[in-house]
Order: sequence, then structure tokens, then C-alpha cells
Amino acid sequence: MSAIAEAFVLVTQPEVIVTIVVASLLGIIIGAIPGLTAVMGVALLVPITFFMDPVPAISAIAALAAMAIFSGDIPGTLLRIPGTPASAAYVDDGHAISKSGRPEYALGLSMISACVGGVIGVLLLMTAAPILARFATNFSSVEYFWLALLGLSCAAIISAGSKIKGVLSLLFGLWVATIGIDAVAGQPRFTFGSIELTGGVSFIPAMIGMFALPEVLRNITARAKKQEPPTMGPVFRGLGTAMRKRWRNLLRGGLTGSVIGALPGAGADIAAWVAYAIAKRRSKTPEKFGKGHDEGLIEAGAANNGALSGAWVPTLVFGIPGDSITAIVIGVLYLKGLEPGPIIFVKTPELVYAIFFAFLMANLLLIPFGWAIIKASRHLLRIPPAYFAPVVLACCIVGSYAINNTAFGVLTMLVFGIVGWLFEENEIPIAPAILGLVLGGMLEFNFVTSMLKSQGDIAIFFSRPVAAFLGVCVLFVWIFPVFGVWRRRKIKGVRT
Amino acid sequence: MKLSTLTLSAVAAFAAFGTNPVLAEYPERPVTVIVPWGAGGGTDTIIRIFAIGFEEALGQPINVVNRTGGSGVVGHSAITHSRADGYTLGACTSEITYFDTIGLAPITPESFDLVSRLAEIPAGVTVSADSPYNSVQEVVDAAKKGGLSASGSGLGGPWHMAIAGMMKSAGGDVNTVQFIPSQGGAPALQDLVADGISIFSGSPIEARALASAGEVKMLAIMADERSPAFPDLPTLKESDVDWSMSNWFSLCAPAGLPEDIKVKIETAAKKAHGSTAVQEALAQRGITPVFDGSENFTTFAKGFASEAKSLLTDLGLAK
Repeated sequence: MSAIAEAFVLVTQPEVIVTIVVASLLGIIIGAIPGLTAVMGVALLVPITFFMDPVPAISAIAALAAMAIFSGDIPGTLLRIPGTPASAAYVDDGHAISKSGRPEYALGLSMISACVGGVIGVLLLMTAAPILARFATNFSSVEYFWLALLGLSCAAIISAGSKIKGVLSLLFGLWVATIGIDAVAGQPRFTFGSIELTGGVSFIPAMIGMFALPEVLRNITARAKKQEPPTMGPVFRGLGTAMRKRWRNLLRGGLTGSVIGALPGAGADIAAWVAYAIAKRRSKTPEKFGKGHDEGLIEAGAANNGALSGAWVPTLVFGIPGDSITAIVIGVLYLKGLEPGPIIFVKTPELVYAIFFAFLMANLLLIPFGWAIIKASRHLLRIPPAYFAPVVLACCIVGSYAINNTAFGVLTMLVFGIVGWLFEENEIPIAPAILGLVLGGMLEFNFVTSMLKSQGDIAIFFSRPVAAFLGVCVLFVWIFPVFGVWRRRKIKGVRT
Repeated sequence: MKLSTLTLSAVAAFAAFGTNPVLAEYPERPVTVIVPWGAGGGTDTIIRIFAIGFEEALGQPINVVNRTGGSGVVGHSAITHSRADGYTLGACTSEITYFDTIGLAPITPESFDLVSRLAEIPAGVTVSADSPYNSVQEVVDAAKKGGLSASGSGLGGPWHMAIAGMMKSAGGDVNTVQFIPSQGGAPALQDLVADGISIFSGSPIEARALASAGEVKMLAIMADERSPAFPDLPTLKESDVDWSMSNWFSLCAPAGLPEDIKVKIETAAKKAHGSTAVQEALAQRGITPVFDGSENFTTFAKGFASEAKSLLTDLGLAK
């Protein structure tokens, strides 16, 4: 109980509140500008968090992400360009409502469902994380090996788009993770005699490069045609009635989102697609979906913000990121001397609860800030990309330099930026590569140390009950898609 | 005439400009201290505490810069590669004495001008709360029968040498306790609680939070005397095992520092280290402050290097 009180004091410090407010404003603007995503906003925020204490640093990230995921709906609704990938699922509905002359109603729905979904996610995080952490203190290298493998398998298989491309991206990430001195035997790998590379590929510059640079490059190569956003009426009119009618969608969306978010590798965008599909299947009027219907908009809008909070469960409890944003968060936690894992719930519970409170606050701030941004959005959408591309590039360079005070970081950022751009151009998802980079070291290290403990006996991986259960889960994730292909072939075979 | 005066004054000005660095009092601009380990870790904490006093004593701002990675190789080699002008210093850790021995990098204590040790953190013996062992003697006896494992740092790291040296001093073989490498104290302690390993040989400072949460039992500290931060924790010597091992943290500079600058740095460092603010901040965290000065430290580092070499050779890790 005292930890919760302490956490409350930590969060109500003026500098924490100011940080949350500033980060929220930044997030809501970044999300509203088409092409600037929540992940990218967080990646660019990281260098600034170096100068902050742990609580404001983590709070800033949480607040920025929550706001950006909501305000990504704004260009989607007004211009039919999703501001962040997480808004893509219901962009047609939002835009259709907007075209029928009620843009403020569509955005109001997005705002309320984002807030409710986010709060459901935070509540789940607050209850599930400490319980899981209690359980996870009994996890040894064997369980961590399976968890890392489970995370990587999910990342490749659940990822949006083609599975083979997901696996390709994952393998790239895993390879990059092997660069540097290996943590067990101290042997340098793929360093080509470079002292800089003995430390491995620095994670944050790679991340900034892969998420932010492709956007800059795309802005240079592509020209978007100019569109005029419509004018807004009063935001809150009619929302109460809609929410009373659609509370089921709201709750289900928030829960679906939180649970999907908690799966490693599946983030807000996948949560939104799944929630939209569920809403459609459960609806009495599925034919109206995509033509300006509110059910899918509400359910998926709640899901993507719920996923954002849910993703923090495995991040804090196991050190395994739930999505790309929390993958960055892990880097920041290490920088702040807070090693994620069950131990931080024992060692510094007040910090963990402070993060939860900050999250809750950010989600509640969605309403006033959301209202303001809806009112201001017309002007924001008129900014041509030519203005913000150089700003983003400058932030990329400064950020990747600052992480280790070396120009090598900038080089890393540029190289990974080009790789990221090539990935995107060929529709290869970036998230699995990032997860491979984060989890590759963990996977290898726990495998090798487990083998050392058992002196080479592979049976150790099934020797403990929890480990055996996780092992079966991994095998299931692997077999499932194979089984799907086999069944489809069989059906085809019967038909011909 | 006029022209030659101009030329003369220009030459004079140029000469003055050229000799400026020598004539100007060190330090005339901010000093950078490279920390080869992550922000928020042990070395970083010690250096940042020290920097507060050092800034005042030196009269210039101190920038603490973390250059992490490669088991400390990246940061340490960045220190050796910087200009020996006193404006780039480093926080050398015990790794400098055996980087070369384990074949990781050609870095030895001779690659640096060693200013002084600043602090040391002794190793310890910690077991999980449900472990059957309640004293070091019990641990040693059980270990000799085989089947025990320990962790706390990387292979060949300070806490590996700590447990190996303890077993050797207790009359066993250095490899009696199997050492499982870990990436720092926290994950090793986690594995201890989860019964993945039987002994945590890292510092009691790292184990303290979990000990007060009732998850682990601290049995001994590997220091020469009991630590004021842990008055109830016996030393190994009290259990008739003649062994102590501490990881240490120091202020160093790239080799070849001009003598006058070196003296200035050492004087300022000594003053800063002795200040109550620094002493108190270190003691509060259970870190033992040490200041042995350049000469003693250089001798100490040599001794430590040869001791490490013999242990690492026994362990089969020397290359």
C-alpha cells in the first residue's frame, strides 16, 4: 500500500505533470500529421528522456504514445490518410461519417473510445502485471529461453502481411543481434576489427533509423495531392447517446486490444484489425461496415489504445516487449538502471505503480487534449510535408548521436534507415526485425546458460513444469500455420 | 616601418596564440570523464557522485559520458585513444587488469595513467531464502561434494574470480563451483530466487533489496573487515577461508599525461574525494570509498593483474 502512496507522490510532482502535458501535446500533434507515427514519435523522444528521471521519462513515452494513437484517427477521418497504421482498420468508416457532414462526430467517437480503451488497458496492466511478476520470480534461464522464443515466433507469424516476409525480417534482426562480443564466451563476432562494433549494434540508433528515416525518404520520393479538410461542429454533441448504445463494443474492444497488446510482437495496429473483425462478425448490420458505421470505429478505436497499455505487461514483467513502442521502452528502462523483469516489482514497486498512474493520467487527458486537437486539426493538416521532413531528419541525427556520444551512432542510424526503407518498399514488416534485435541476445544467452547448467543435456528445457508448458505453447505456434496450409491444400484436393 | 611593426606584432600574436595551451593554466575548459559502463550502473553512480566534488575542486564543469558495450572494451579503448591532455579522463574498472589476459583487447594497466582508486565493492556469498545452507562453511562443504553453481557477472569477471578464489582458498579446485555467466547482478539474483543457480557471488549491495524482501539470505562479505553498511555480515576470514575480493572503480587518464597536469588532477581528485558530500553519498549506498593515489594504485593494479592472471589461468580462461 505504501508503494502505491509513494507512487502517487512521484507522479504528482510538478515536473512529472508538466512532462506528461508536454509529451501529450507533442504526441497529439505527431499523430495528427500523416506519416508521423506513434513509434517514430517515441523513438525521437528517447534522446530527450536521457536528461530526465526515470518516472518522468517513462511517463513521457506513455503519454506521447497514447495521444498519438488517438490523433492518428484525425487525418484518417478527415482526409482518409491514416495518421498511424493503427488507425487504418476503420479509416473508411470515419471518413464516410465525416463526408456526410459530421466530422466532429466521427472524431468524438474516436476520442471517447480511445480514452475508454486506454483506461481498460491500464486497469488490466495494473492488476495483471504484479500477479504475473509474483509468478515470474520463479523463472530461470530455461523459462526465459522459451518466452523469448515464443515472442519471436509470434512476431513473425502474427505480423501483418505475408508470413515469409515476417520471418525474413525476423532473421535479419536476429543476425544483427549477434554482432559484437558475445555475452557468454567473450568472442567478437562480425566486428571486422572495429572497436565500435565490439559493443554490438546500438539499439536506439538502429530503431530511430528504421522507423523514422523511411518516412523522410518517402516524403522526398512521393508527392501527396493537396486536400482541404472540412470544418468542425461541436465535438460532444450526440456522443453520450452513441456510447450508451454501443457500450458493448467499447468494452469488448478495450479488452480485445489489451489482450492482443500483451502478446509479444502484436501491437496496436493488429489489435485494431482484430477488433474491427470481431465487431463486424458480432454486428446485426455487418453490411454497413466500411460505409460510415460506428460499431467498428468504436470497437477498433478502443482496441488500439487498449493494446498500447497491454503491451507493457510482458515488457515490465519479463523484459519482453509487447510491441515496437515497448521495445524502445526496454532500452530506456536499461538506461535508467531499471532492469525490466519481476525483480523491479520487488525492488522498486513505487516506480512501477508511478508508471501505471502516469499511464492512467495520459489516457484521461485524452478528452481535453483530444477536444482541442479536433478543433485545431484543420490547420495542422495544411502543413506540407516539406516542412516537417527536415525537422524529423535533424531529430534523427541528434538523437542517434546523443545515445552514445559518438558519430558511429549516426552512421548506424543512416544504415538502418536505408534498410528500413528497403524493407518498407518491399512490404517487409519492420517490427519483427526490431523484436529479433531486442530478443536475439536474450534468446541466445538463456539457451547457452541453460545448456551450461545441464552440461549439454537438452532435456533441461522440459525439466521444469512451467518451462514444459511454455515449450508446448511455442510448438503450437509453430505447428498452427503449417496445419492451416495443410488443411487448405486438403480442401483444394477434394474439390479438384 | 609601419609594415614591419605590423608583421612583428602579428608574429608576436601568433606566437602567443601558438604557445597558449602550454602557458594557460590547466584546466581552462570543461573536462570529460568516459565511463565504460551504462548510466545508472555501479561505476556510473560512483563517478557521478565523485564528479560533483571534482567539479568544485577543479573549477571546471565535468561531463560524464557513458561509452558502453563489448564488456567494457569500447569505453576503455576510447579512453586510451583520447588525447593525453587532461581534458579526457576515464573511469577505469578492474577489467583493465585482465582484458589482455583473456584475449579480449590489448589493454593493460600500462595503457593508462592511473590517478587513484575511488571506491571498491566487495564480493559476497548470497543464497536463496529456501536454500539449506546457513553459513559459508556449509556452502563450502556442500560445494566440495559438487553440483553447486554460482553467478553474478560474465565468465572471468570479478564475481567469477571471487567464487573461484574462495574455493581455492578453502582447499578446493577453482572449478568446484560451476560458474554460469550472467549479464550483471540483477538477472543473476533473479536466477538465484528461481533456483536456477545456488550461489550469488556478487556484492551484498546488489543483493540488499532482495534480502530485505526476504527472497535471499546474505551469508558473507568477501572483504578484509566487516563493512559498516553490513555490520552483521561476517567476512570469509571469520569462517577460516583466507580470501577477499573486491571490484574496484578508479579515475584514470590515457597514458602519457604531462606530469604537472597529472599532479593537478590527483590533488583535485583527492580534495574532491575527501569532501563530506562525496564520502556520505558513497557510504549511503554501501560503497567503500578508497583513495590510494597514483603511485599506490599503480602498484596495486600490477598486483591485481598478476593475481587475476593466475586465477584465470587456473580457470582455463587465459589466452
